[in-house]
Amino acid sequence: MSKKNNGNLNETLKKLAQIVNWFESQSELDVEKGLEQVKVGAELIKQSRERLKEIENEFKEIKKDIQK
Amino acid sequence: MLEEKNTTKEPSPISVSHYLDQLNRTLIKERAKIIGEVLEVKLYPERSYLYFTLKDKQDQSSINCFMWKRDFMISGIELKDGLEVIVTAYPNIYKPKGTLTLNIELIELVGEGALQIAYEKLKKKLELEGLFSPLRKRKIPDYPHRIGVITSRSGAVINDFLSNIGKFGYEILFVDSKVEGQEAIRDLMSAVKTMENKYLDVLILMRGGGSLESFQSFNNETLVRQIADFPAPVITGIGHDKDIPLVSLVSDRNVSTPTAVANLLNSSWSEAKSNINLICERIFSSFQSNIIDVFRKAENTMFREAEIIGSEIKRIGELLNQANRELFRGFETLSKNAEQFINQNAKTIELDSPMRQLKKGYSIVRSHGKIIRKIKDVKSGDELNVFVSDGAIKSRVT
Repeated sequence: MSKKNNGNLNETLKKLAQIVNWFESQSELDVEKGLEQVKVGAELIKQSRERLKEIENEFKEIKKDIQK
Repeated sequence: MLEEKNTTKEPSPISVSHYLDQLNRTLIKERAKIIGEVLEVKLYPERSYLYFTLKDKQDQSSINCFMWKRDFMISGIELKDGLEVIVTAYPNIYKPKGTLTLNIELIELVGEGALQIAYEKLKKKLELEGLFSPLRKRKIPDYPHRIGVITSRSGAVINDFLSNIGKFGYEILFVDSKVEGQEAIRDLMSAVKTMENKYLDVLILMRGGGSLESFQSFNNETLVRQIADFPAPVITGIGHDKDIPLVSLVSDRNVSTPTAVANLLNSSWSEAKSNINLICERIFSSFQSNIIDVFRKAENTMFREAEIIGSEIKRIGELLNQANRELFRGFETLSKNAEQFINQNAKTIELDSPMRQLKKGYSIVRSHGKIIRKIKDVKSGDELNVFVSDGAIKSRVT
């Protein structure tokens, strides 16, 4: 649940965007590097989803409070 | 023993001067208040003393009187023949002449009528001098702090005053003084004198009510002038019956009771206190409405922000899904491309393969490990290896 484990969402999203860009700009056919990038990307997506879920839950709590 | 006998029996003679001194020492203890008529007043304008004769009203008894001008001034009486007075005095023998004289300390008028006349006369005189003019009155300062109080320690006046004076951090300097009758005059004057260099914000002179006679000291000219010249404003709280005491007329502010004096001193402080309370309330109420305002604005902002955050969360969620799709699509494309590349190369490699040429009927000739492309690559007698599709044929150049 802690923010540390899942990292800063913003930072994670930036890293993910870099990986997606890497694929888009790829002219060489480095499948080994591609596999590495997919592994890292998948991990980042997982982290981001978890963090986003946390944020959403927290946000729902706060929203409930201020709308009382 | 012998000497003692001699002294008790026969006192040794003493000089006239010594004897008169001895008598005077006894006579000074005979101080009395004596009533009589004033006669033969000798004022001696240049000298520091005066003489008159005090005569009994009923018979011819009379006695010579001596008085210092300083004491006479304090008494505040105009002497004239036939005036009935009460003197406070002690007898004394005037040594150069051996005559008995009354040393007068204080003279008072007798009866309300005489007092009334003296009062009116002095009042008129001081009025003409402008001593009672409203223009001379000094303002009682706001927020007085250092307060001089002159009154009697005994009596209700000081208690009334102290129980009504508010708790505003006053510094009260008290000087006890007699306030009753003509005898009070010396006390009052010395009390006022004491207060003169005390850096007071205000001086207060108080006593309760009474007859005109009992107020005599407060109608004394010297005291009135002392009050007029006092360095700080003076408040009087001297009760009276009919005629207002001259000290009350000359003071900067005159009120009727000790309670009124206390209220007067309290007034600016009380006002300040209630003003502060009022201001406090105003500050709080304006602060409160400001706070409510700020809260309302903050609430609105939060609601707006909440919407934004909500949609942002949704957007990031979608972004992640998209990234996920792109990532795998990217990788798929990459591996597909790699596969294609491999297949294409395989084809090319296959097309260019020497084995394919050999099958077609071509052969490859090698000599000493090298491929022979031209005639000059070999010489007679060299061994040749001819590769065909299913093996090699050995031969020799002739």
